[in-house]
Amino acid sequence: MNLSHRKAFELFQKSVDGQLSAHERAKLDRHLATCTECQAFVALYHQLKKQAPAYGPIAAPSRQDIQQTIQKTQARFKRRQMFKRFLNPVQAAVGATIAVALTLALVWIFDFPDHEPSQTQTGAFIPSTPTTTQVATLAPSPTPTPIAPTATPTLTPTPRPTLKPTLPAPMVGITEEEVFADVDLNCDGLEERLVTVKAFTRSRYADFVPRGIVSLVLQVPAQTGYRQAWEYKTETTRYGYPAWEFYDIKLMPLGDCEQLLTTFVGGRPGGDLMIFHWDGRNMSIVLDVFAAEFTTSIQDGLVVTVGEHDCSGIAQCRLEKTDYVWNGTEFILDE
Amino acid sequence: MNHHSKDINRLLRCHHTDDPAIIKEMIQQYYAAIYRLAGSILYDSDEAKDATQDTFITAMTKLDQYQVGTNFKAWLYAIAVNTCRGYMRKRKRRESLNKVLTTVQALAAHPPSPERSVLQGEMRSQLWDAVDQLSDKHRITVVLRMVHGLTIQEIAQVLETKEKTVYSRLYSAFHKLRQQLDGQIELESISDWCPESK
Repeated sequence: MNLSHRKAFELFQKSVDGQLSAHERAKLDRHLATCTECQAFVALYHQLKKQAPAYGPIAAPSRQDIQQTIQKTQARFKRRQMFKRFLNPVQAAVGATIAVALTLALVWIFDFPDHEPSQTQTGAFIPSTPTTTQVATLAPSPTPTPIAPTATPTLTPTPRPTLKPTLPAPMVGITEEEVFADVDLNCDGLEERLVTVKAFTRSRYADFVPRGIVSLVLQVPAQTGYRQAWEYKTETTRYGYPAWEFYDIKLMPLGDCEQLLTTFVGGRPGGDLMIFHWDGRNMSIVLDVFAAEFTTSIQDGLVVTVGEHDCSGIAQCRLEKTDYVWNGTEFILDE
Repeated sequence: MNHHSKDINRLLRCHHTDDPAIIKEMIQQYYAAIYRLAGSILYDSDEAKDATQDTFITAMTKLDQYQVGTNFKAWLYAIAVNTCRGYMRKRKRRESLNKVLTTVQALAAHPPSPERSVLQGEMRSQLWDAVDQLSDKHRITVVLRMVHGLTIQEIAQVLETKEKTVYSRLYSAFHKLRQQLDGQIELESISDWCPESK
């Protein structure tokens, strides 16, 4: 009788389904003969079976009910089938539309025509530092008077027909010009126009990221408006877009009415302190030193004090200051 | 496999699953059984009718998934039980909403619907009243076994579970029923306990 109640119950259910072997049946017989618990289960089974017909809504469905259900089911099934047939082409059309829209979006994102930089320069350039390039532009003047380039110690114009845009086109989508100042730089009574050119890196996702001022332009008065006479452009690029920019652009008085153009070029903070002088025909670089900051003073002539952080070999960086004095042509180190 | 299943299987071998003849044959053969099954699960003749119709619609739409030659009855019952479960879930949602909307007192005072009263009146058996107290999981197993005479294998197929689980559920259900009806059941002679010996 080594049979648990649960196992005996299982064997009993098997016997109801006619799946009991002779051996199992004998086993169950022996168990049931002595186990009152399992006898009660069997009795319960018979009671339930006897009363089962009275359980639930037992009223047998009429023939009419069945006919109605057949008709309704057939109609509903037909409607579903029709809807399914209709839906398939609609789904296909919607799917195709979405696919086309996605394709167009992808094309627009990846193959959007890039804007070339708006400036095309003519003229010549001489690199003044390994990281920047100076471009002296003598654009054809509409006035009959030719402008003859004069030799300066730092600038030797060499004719060159065209220059390719210096900023990589794919990543510089837009350039934007802005008038920085209209000022008389060389005491000739005419106001030159200083223009800054900002470059914007176009994101692939129609977002525009400003890259700062990448070009300085000098325009001189012409018969109609202004014409470009000089341009200085950062060329250093990183990962395909300009990494350097002009900042802290200022005008520094020189004498009674002349103005020097000062600016840092490079990455913040610090960079190359550059000072430009316009003599009416040529723009020359009168100072180009690496600096973190600078001050000017006019005591015994114009002095530019350049500060540079010296962090070599000491716990705390200190500002090393160097003076450069104006000698009438350029700034030279004050020995 | 019963003779009805054989008929349907024969029809399915000869006709396309979209054939209206299959709907007709299926409903004529199984309407009563499915309606009774739905009624015994849902206790509401209107809901049972709807559930029966839904069962046949679902069966027709899924007929191409049925493997011809297998137990059609169990396959159809599985759809019916799942449809009824859907109705029960909807009803529970309705009831829980009602509970929120009305006070417990009002609910207690509310008489049962005439439909339900009639159905309950038909089940005069104290024993089957006890079955109604079981959880749905146990009650449906008992109903499929005792009212609809499904084999353990068929119940497992209908409930999409293992045979061991069906045995376990039945045993638990019987155990609970015995506890509820302790001393109230008249033990019959078990001399003819086995249906095979009848």
